[in-house]
Amino acid sequence: MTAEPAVDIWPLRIEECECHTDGLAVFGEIDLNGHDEWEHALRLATGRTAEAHVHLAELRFIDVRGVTLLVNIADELSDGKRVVVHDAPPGLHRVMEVLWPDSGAAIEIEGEQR
Amino acid sequence: MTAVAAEGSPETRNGFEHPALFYSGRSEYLEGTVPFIEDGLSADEPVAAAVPRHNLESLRTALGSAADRVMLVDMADAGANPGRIIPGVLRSFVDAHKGSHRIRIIGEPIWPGRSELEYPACVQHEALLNLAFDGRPVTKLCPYDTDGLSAQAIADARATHPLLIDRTGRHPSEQYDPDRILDAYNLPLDPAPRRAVERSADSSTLDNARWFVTSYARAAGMTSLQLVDLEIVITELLTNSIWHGGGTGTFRIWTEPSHLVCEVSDAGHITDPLAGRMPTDESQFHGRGLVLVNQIVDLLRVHTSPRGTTVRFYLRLPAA
Repeated sequence: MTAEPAVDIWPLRIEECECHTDGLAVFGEIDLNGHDEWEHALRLATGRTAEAHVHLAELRFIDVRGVTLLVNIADELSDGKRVVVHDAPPGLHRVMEVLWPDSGAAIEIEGEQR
Repeated sequence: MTAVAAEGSPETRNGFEHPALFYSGRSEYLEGTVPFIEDGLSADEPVAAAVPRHNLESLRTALGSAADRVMLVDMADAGANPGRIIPGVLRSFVDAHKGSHRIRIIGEPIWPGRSELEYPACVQHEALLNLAFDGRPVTKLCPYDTDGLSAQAIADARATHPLLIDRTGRHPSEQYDPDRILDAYNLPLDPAPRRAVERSADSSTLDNARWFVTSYARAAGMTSLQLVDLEIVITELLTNSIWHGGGTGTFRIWTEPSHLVCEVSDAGHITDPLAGRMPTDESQFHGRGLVLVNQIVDLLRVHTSPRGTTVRFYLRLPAA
């Protein structure tokens, strides 16, 4: 198993993923209880690398603020850098299609849950 | 109050123009709308028409090939929830054409057939247009069917539009008073029925609330896509209650014959009249949540006062 989770504040747990140098694995739910921790983890991961991988297969739910943080952080990345999101929950797609229908190239979404 | 701009004189036209068109019958409808569209197209102005389907078809036919250059939208669909018209239909069109010297939109949010439940939200929407587009180079022409609409609806239109157009010409509206309308239609909602299930949630039980309403709605027959929407909506409303409504939200859920209905009450007071309609900047923590809610529910009704706020939303049940 991995080292201590980077974030463990119910209902959210974030660990470093095992498959990428700079990647996150997110477990549980992102709501107001974990907005700050989510933001912090995303900034750390995207700050270090050209391609940050975020694994969301175990994320059951993400709220509008959670998606907003992801979109804003990705937008702020310099040219050539991007975030790759794996197995996003259906709610993430829904929020993106409604609020950011023309989302830029900085976020790449690969795969969906179920 | 902005002066009434002289018709067709560009030098005096700046800022938002918001005339109501009172029409009786199809030919008056087309006489009032088609030249408006054609003038816009000749001047290379972006033109959109968001009107109920029967009128959309009349326009499409009357415009012929020019229809291809107009964005035509079925208002019954796009504006089913009146709260989404400003962010979803109008602002997205206006923002897509930033830099145009003038943008023309025909918007018909009120027609015979709007329910009693929807009507207050429709009028509030009309009253807010003046605020939402103040200073923007947009002309928004709003047709009103005088044959089919009630005297109340026509009276309300005189209060929400500074300029009135009918077969006798163009006249400023003596009764223009959008603030009075916003106040008058900020109505207490009918109490939830006794069969409604009621719970409360704060930050530590927010996930329970999601689970609870999703289970209830699943049992009521909602589709999995609707359950995704419901989870997001209940979270956004309770999050607003937690941040701005005293830390707790009370929610009630029940079914009506065609809809799942859910409401969230808290001790907060929504003082921004455009809350839920205008995209806000990042500095506002809760900026986009209510905008998203408006975009995805079938109807949103709100009552807010210094004594508290109730937000009630409707999601259509799948046909049996």
